[in-house]
Amino acid sequence: MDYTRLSDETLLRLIARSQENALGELYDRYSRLVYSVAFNTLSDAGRAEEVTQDVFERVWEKARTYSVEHGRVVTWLTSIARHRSIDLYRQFRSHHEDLQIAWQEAESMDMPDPQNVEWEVDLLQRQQRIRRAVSQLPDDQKRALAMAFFQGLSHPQIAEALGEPLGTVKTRIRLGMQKLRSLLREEQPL
Amino acid sequence: MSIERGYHVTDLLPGYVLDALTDEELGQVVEHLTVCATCQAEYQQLQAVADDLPLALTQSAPPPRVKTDLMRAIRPAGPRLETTRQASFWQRLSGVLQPRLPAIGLALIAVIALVNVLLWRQLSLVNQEARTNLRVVNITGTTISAEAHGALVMDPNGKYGTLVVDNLAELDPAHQYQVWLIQDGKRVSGGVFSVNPTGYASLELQAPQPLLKYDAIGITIEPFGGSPGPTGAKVLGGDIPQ
Repeated sequence: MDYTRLSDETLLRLIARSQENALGELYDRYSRLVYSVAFNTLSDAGRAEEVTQDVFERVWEKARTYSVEHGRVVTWLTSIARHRSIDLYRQFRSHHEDLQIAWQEAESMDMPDPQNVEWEVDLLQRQQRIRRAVSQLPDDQKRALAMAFFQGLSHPQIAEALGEPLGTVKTRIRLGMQKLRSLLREEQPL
Repeated sequence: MSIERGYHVTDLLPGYVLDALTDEELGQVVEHLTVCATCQAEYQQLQAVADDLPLALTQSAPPPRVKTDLMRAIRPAGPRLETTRQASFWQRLSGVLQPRLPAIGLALIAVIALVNVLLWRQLSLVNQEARTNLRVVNITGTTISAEAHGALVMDPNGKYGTLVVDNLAELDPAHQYQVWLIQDGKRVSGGVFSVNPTGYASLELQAPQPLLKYDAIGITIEPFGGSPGPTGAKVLGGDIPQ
């Protein structure tokens, strides 16, 4: 069976039936993404590797409990990776460091290949849209969003870490998210 | 219009989808979303943005050994090479011992009886020590988890402790149970855990202060990895006597 042509949801169904090759394929698709979420939160390669293995072990154990109500498979994976990473971050960091998030430059992106199967085209298009949108945000908005999303910090914690007024941080986050939403809406495929 | 605008929680929704709200703000949003279709629609749009944020990261691959370790970890332990060697060893041993079996059997019974007596005495001492030294707080299930129960077992000074729970429902992969230690109404996280298929788990609690400083303990259902403050349903709780 050519697992590379199967959808994420089909792979999960096979993983639920203990098919190791299906887990291997899901890992090949998303381990870079999962590892990057963990590494950007933890800034520690060893712990990011630990989170990556942990996320896919959970998928192996819990695949049968997945349903489309959890959202896309990739969202499910990054959600597990993010929460696990934030949990480790809270355990091992005594203070909040200024986060250096490696946002992908919008101009250096892979283009969908005619040989790509449906899941690849969908993923690449979504990556391109969000990367273009994020690249249009001012740096201070990107930083505040990243500290909330990847470090799990609250508005007051971000304000304290950046030495900025609370209202300024709230405004940055609100404007940043609203701008991303409107940019992504403009780019939605018809 | 201005009244309606003031009523909506639109300004808090970006912080809500990023988990950046304070407990008080979070309570307002959760309550409002249950009754307001307008904010619910806006929340879903913002949540879709937040869901895609990881895709904007520069991606790099983990080392190949992570996949190797993963695939090794998920495989059930297969028959080991030593099994054959052990079998032939036992066969040879059995051949040597067979003529002496009655005498060896009697000797073994005597040894087992002696060991049992010693173990029983040791167990009694341990139980006695446990009764006199360890502090145990019973934790009971709420109405939504009436079958669940647990105990917080603390050292004699009430500084450290381990939580043991049983009969809790196994959660979907995106959620975990989170322990909250409560002092003067303020809640701090004591850790997160998942239960096994029978509903059992144990967790060594992590707290900024000795456990006896807290008034009560509660357990809620939270997103995987835990929340800054309780957001989900409470499933277990109990007071910590001083």
